[in-house]
Amino acid sequence: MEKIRQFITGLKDGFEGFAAMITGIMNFFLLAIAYFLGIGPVSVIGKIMGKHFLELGKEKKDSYWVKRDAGKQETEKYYRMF
Amino acid sequence: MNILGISCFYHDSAACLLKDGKIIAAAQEERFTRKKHDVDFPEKAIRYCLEEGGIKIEDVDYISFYEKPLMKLERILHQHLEMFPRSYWSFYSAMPSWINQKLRVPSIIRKKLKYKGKIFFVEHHMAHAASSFLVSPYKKAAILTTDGVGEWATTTTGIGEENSITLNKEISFPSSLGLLYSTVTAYLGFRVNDAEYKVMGLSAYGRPVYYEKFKKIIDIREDGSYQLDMSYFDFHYKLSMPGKKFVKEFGPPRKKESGMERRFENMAASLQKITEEIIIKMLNSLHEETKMDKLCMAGGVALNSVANGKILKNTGFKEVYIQPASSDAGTAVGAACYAYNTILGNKREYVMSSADLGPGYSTGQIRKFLEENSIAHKEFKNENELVKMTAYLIKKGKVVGWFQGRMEWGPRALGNRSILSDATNPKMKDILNLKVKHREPFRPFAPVITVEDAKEYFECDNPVPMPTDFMLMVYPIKKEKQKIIPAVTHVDGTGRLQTIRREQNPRYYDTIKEFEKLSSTPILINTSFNIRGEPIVCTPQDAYRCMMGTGIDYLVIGGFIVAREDNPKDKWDSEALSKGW
Repeated sequence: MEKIRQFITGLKDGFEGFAAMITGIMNFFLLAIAYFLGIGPVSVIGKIMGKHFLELGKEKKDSYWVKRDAGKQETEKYYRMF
Repeated sequence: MNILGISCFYHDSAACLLKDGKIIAAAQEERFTRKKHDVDFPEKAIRYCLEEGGIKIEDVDYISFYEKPLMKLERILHQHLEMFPRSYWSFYSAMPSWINQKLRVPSIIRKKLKYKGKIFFVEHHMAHAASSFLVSPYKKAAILTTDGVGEWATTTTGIGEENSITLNKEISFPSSLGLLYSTVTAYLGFRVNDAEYKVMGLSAYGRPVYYEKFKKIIDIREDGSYQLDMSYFDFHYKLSMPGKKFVKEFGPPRKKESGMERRFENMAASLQKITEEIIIKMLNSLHEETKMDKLCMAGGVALNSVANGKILKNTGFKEVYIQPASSDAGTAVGAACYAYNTILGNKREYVMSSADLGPGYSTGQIRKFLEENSIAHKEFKNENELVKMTAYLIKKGKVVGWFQGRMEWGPRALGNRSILSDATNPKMKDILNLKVKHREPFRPFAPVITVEDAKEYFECDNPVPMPTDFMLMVYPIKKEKQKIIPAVTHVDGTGRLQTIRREQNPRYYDTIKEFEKLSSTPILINTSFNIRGEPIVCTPQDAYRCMMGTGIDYLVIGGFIVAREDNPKDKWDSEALSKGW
C-alpha cells in the first residue's frame, strides 16, 4: 500500500514538473511573440517619433514635483481598475 | 456597514475589517501561512478578520483593493516600451503573474471568497495616505507618502481634512527614494523589500563619505523633489537593481552573508544622510505650502525610524502620526478607510492608538493547548505574582518569550508577541543573538520604556509623539544613561525605543515597572518573538515551538509560565521542524 502511495505521489510530482516545464516553454514563446511583435514595433516607432516612455533623469529641472488632480472622484471611478 | 480592505500580489499581503468605521481586525497573511512577506491572496487573514468580526462574507458590504491594477500595468508597459529590447527577461518573469493574478483581481476575490458585492479600487498612494490620515487623531493635517512605487507615483504630498484627502503633487517612477534605498540594500547583499531596516541600522557604523557620489546619482532640489539618474540603475528593466555604472562608482557589491567591510558601512551612512536630507527638505516645503502643524506619513520610507526621529526637530511640524504598518500591508487599512470615510462620505470616529488588531487567545484556549500537548506549566491566577515572577526572571538574566493579548498589526513586536530581556546587562545582546535571534552583529536591539520615564533616558520630542508607541522613532540616549542600558544603546548612542502607556497594555507596563523595582531602570529589551527568517509568532503553538527550538528560557503566555527546561525538546524543535509545520 505504501509503495503504491509513493508511486502515485512520485507520478503526481513528475506530471507537475512536466506541466511546469511545458508552461515555461509556452510562456517563453508566447511572451516573446507579444514582446517582439507587440512592444517592439511600438517602441521603435515611438522612439523614431521622439517619444519618451519614461523619464530617465537626463533632463534637469527646477522642480521634479508633478501636479496631480487627485481629490475625491465620482464613485463610479472607484469601481474601475484604472 | 462592513468593509474589507485587501492588499496583495506585491509584498506583505494583508487584510483589514472595518465595521461601522472602526477597525475590528487587521493582519498580514505571513503570520498565518508562516511564509515571510507572503504575497499571495490573503485568504487566511481575511478568514481571521471575518471571524473576529463575527460575520460571514455575505455580510460584507464592500471590498476595497489597495491599488488600480490597470494603471500599474500601464506603467510597466511604458518601462518595456522605453527599454526594448533589453527588458525581455523582466517582461518574461513579470507577465505570468499579471495574466494569472493581477489582472484578475475581481474574479479572484469573487471566486476565493464567494463574494458577490461591489469592489472599490483605490489608488496605491491614496491608500497609503488614507492609512495614516484617516486613522490619525487629526482633523486636518499635511500628508507625505513615500515608498518604492505604486501605479506611477513614488512620492506624494497633500492635505487631509475631516474625511477627505487631496494629494496634489507627486514624483513619478522611475525616480523613487524607496527604490534608491532598496538598490543600496541589494548592493549591500541584503534582501530587497525585507532588509532595508538592516541598512538603516548599519548606517550608524559608517561615515557619509560617499555623500557627494550619491549627489551625482540623485538630483535634489530645495523643495525636496528629486530625480534619479537612471544610467546608474537597472531596476526599470531588469530583475537586478544596481547598474554597471553604480558598481563602477562604488566598487564591487557585497556578497550575501559575507563579512561587513568599512566601505559598506560608509555606503549605508551616506544613503541614510541623503534620505534624511530629502525627507526634511520635502517636509519643510510641505509645511511652507500648507502652514499646518500636524503631519501624517505613510509608505515604506516612513518606517525609517532614524529619519522619523529628526522630523520634529528639523521641520516646522509640531506633531506627527505614522500608523504601525506604514508599508504596503497598511494599505489594506487605507483602502478600507478611504472607502468608508471618503468614497461613501461617512464621518471619522476611529483613531488607531493601539496596534492590537490581530488574533488573541483566551485563558481557556491557552490552557487547552498546554494540556492537550502535555506541556508542563504553572498557572498564575494573581496578576501581581505573574508580573513579579516575570520581572524576577528577566533580572536573573533569563530570556522570556512574551505572548499576551492580540497580535500586533505591523512589522514590530510591541509587547504582545515579544521577547523580553534585561537591557542593563552588557552581555544580553550577545546572549540573545546566541540563543535566539542569530542576527548580524551590527544590528541593535530595541528598548521599551514607560512613557513617563522616556524623557529621563532619551533626548526625545516633547510631548513624546504617538509613533514612538509603535517603535517608529529613533532618539539619542542621554550620555549619562548610555552605560546603564548598554544592551540597547546603538553604536552611535541612539535607541529605537518603544514607549508604553499603562492603558495600552497594563500587564506589559506593570512588568517594566516591577523590573524597575529590581534594577532601578524602567527599561527592557523588546525584540520580536521569532527566529531569523520566520514571521513573528501568531498562535500559542508558534510561540511554544519557537521557545523550544531556541534558547528562550521561559514563555509567559497569558497567565501561564512555561519553562523550557521542564519540557522535552524533541518534537518541538522549531529550527529543525520549521519547514514541516
